[in-house]
Amino acid sequence: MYGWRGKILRVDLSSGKIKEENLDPKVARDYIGGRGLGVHYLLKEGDPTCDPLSPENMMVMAAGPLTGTSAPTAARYMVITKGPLTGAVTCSNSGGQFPKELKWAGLDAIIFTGKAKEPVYLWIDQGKAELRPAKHLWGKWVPETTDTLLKETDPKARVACIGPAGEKLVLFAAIMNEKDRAAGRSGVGAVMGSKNLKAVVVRGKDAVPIANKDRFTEINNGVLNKFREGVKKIGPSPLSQHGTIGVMTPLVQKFGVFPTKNWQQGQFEGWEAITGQTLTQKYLVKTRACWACPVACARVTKVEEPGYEGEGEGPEFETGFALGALCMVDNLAAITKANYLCNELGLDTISMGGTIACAMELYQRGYLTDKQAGGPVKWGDGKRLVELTRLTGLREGFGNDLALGSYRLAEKYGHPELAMVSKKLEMPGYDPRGLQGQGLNYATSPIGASHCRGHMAYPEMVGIPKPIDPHETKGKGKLVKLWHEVFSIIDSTGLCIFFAARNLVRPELEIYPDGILEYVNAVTGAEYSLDELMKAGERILNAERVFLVRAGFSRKDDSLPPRLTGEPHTSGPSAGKVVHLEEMKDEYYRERGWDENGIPTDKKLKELGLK
Amino acid sequence: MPIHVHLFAYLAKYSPTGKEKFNFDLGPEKTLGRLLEELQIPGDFERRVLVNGRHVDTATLLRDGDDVFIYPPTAGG
Repeated sequence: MYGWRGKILRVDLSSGKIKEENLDPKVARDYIGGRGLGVHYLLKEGDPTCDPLSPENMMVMAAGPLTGTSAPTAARYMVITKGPLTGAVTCSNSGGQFPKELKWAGLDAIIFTGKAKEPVYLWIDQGKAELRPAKHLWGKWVPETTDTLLKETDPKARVACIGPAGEKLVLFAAIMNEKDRAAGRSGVGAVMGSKNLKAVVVRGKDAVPIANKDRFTEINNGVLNKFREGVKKIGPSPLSQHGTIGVMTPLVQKFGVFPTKNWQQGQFEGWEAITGQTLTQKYLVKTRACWACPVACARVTKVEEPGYEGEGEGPEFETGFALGALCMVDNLAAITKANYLCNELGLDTISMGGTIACAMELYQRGYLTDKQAGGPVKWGDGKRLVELTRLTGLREGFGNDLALGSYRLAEKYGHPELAMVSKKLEMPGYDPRGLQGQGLNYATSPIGASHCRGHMAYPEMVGIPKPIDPHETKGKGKLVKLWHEVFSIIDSTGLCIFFAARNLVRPELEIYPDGILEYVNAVTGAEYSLDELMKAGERILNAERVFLVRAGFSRKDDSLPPRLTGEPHTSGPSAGKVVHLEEMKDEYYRERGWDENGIPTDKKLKELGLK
Repeated sequence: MPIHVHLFAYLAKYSPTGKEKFNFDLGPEKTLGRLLEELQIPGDFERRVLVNGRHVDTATLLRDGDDVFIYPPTAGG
């Protein structure tokens, strides 16, 4: 096989047994890799009704056929499991270097089952895989864990690990690779913790084989030259210069869709203090790129302000939103320090910020007292933000409540309507009251509210590939259906959505993945037609939906909080609007071939080979 | 009252004041298209414009105090 390594590792943590298995070429073709491959195994062999923190939950780490090649941004892998925070299927994405190393070690995926009796880590050295004791690492934070493991194995290896948050089963614990890259959402870190799996360490030296090397080089040169010429002609990409926090912050503010004060406001007065340009001026050390990425949007930063000292990567836009505007914190040093703590403890920054903001509103309204929270939880308090982040990662004091995520926190204190979530997953930084399609995307995204499964803010706000009416609802069901499929293809090939959804798709609203198709065929030799590739994307979305249905989800769970469907902003460019979700869902289900309750019909499932 | 213009990222090189943000006296009855001409941003430069937080077409008349944000359209998260 080309692109695909043709090999899966099965690791049963209960028995300690590791087995190699060939990747079925038909499965590879039908599900592509990465996210698709993961959901295939999860649906076939996992248990949608299990407790996500029980040994019965299966966890798949899967890279795509392009991951580890030199196609631009071919650096990604996904973690697919039943999410502890949501109870839904989840696919959590990360880049950096670890995914490439997995492929260079000769693997497409690792399937974890069961639970180890004592803490272990998986060490993969080229073809050889073994489980090693990790008791001496248990309790260590992510940086120390990573450094210790590199000494014990190979300094050139790559580490994906959990910190105290995952060990202590914080419901939004992350899996961190290269210390600062996060498979962040839905609590995949807690799944590892529940299995006593501290880390996966991998060293690979074998480049990914390419089916048609000349064709691949031709395509690659074309894409990269176009990118570099753009930089030469007009200037460096703003994404390179100032990061995602540079590119998105001014736009959400100007559009009035910057979720502020737990979504009570759509603009943040302190926004200029937390832009990417401010970060560049104050704390940026250098940029950093994932494997094979020409953009380098990652921020390597250092803060020297007393009380907030630290260094690492970030913050990204979502972090600036969640730990900043959402909590009314305009102190960039505090946001950056909280961000470092999230990386070091292994926490999702979006859910961390969303949960603290929820606590701040509960406190504001008198539903949460000083005594219960161990002190005040006031809007804008950067010092307290940092403290609460640390307490959450260690599950100490009020951090133990915050570790539940905003939905269970708000429920505990009597007001679940104040949790700004969909399927219990905290919403990312784009207010759907100003972006109807994004609202539909959040509600129908399989994992819960996610901008990464079909980013409607691109056409509705940024204006790419071209601007569309953000307040229109008609047609959004059809558009979101297509975008969901294209993004699932990107997630399954191993590319980065920020590059691929812009540069490797048709420059039209119907973003057919023409460029991605070329890469996949040149690398794998599979000779997909565009229809086949799109069908694979549709299959993946439907497989995820089948898992959800079996886990008890239906139309009522494709929801948004009542604030978004019932409370318009009173000022700003998005004032006076609420999300008209139900009519968009009707259209989306129709386009999907699902019934009015959001259940895939037998006809649709048969068509996709899922029945 | 002038309009407030913000030229973002590499578009800032077209600022008449050398600063990203500046006030601009466009005069009466002037459109967005006219503003872009006067700023001399080349036609083949990919850019998007928000006027008071909305995408509008270049025939739109600009008014005193309008907020005009001109930026290179970039994907990100």
